[in-house]
Amino acid sequence: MHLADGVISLPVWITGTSLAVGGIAIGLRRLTPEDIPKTALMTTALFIAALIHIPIGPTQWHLVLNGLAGLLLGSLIFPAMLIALALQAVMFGFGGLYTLGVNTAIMALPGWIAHSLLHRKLRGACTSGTQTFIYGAAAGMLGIGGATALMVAALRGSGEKYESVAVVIATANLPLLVMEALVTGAVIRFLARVKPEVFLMESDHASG
Amino acid sequence: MRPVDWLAPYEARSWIHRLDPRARLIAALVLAGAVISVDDPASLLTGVGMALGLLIMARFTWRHLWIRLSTLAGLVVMLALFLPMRFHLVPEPALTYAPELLPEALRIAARASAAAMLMMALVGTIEPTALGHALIHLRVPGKIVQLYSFAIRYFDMLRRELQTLHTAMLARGFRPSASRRALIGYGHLIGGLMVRSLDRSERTLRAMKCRGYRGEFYLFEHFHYRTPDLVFLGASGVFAVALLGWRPWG
Repeated sequence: MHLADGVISLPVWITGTSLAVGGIAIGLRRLTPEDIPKTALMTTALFIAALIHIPIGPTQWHLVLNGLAGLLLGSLIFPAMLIALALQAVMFGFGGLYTLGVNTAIMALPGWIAHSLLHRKLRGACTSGTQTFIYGAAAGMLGIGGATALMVAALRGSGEKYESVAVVIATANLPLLVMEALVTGAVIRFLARVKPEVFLMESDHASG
Repeated sequence: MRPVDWLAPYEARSWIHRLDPRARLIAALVLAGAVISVDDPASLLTGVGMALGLLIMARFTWRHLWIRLSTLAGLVVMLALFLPMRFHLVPEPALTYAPELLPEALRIAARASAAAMLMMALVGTIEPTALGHALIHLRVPGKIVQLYSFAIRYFDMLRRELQTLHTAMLARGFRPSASRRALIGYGHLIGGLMVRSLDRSERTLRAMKCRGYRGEFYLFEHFHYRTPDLVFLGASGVFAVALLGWRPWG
């Protein structure tokens, strides 16, 4: 669920867009030419993974995976989300042109927070499968919970009139909270087992 | 997964498709900016009509038009249904519907749909690689455009990888659902896709380095504005100003 054009107010637009621009600038400064293929392919893979439709009764749900993206990409989640949202807009016509920045901030900020809280814990060599699952699940919950909170804040900040829409969105995202937690936990546990070097990227950057 | 034959809109041929991608991008920004800034019903209707007209002239197939417009219809219905709704907990829990808020909901829906249709008609018709070039020409940071171009390049490949992995899971008796077991299965599917994408990116980087990659994005083709592009840009500007300034009863 993304904000469409013409919904939010100007102050909210300015706040969201500047947050996104700041985040993208931080991410791009860290992005070396060597990292571009890796970042781009991970972004694309996450985008494609978010297209999987999971059936719940007669309805179909899709994942957001911003917590997972944050854990794997760090501050690069800002440019990554921008690309993912732009692809979504170009390919399917969802989301707005002017709200690209605001939607990027809504999705990327919680992922980045999850990264700064949890990534260090995943680098430890002696974490068990259960522990990595829990860290992943926490990142998934933080991602969705944070994105929902920011979306509600953006709507409420745009006017009292959006009160009920905000409540509906928050309620609709509740099942997603559980789904994202389980899926992200499983992905992180899987990656820690199969390709633990994914979590080492960060320290590579720090050292050079 | 959603069936994506996402190349179809660019393969249609109309006068919009022949315009310079930069002109289409700028016009989309100008026109959408004007539409989302107006509030009176007449201007909004004009904006929606103009967007719909461009969309029809862009010659989308009915199927694509339907896929895209049905999402918009969903947004309109959601706004009309939920925006005027009010929840009360005091004095007693109640759910009320305030019909006087319906016009406001429809105005927001009109702005959102007009902007979305403009984007489909003007930006959605730009061939993805041409969009990358246009963004470079419009001074978007090269790194962003490189990420975007890679994403376009590998979208289909990674989608096929996902489909292969998914088919293998189905063959082993996986049942798509939202049960705990199935969600963990989805997690392993996504993990597998991540591993494949990382391996692929390492091979790609090595191949690129062999060809002398140093992080630069070279352009061999350059766009040139022609008369129709300038006419279209001018007309869009005039339309936007007229829309913003037109207040017959205000």
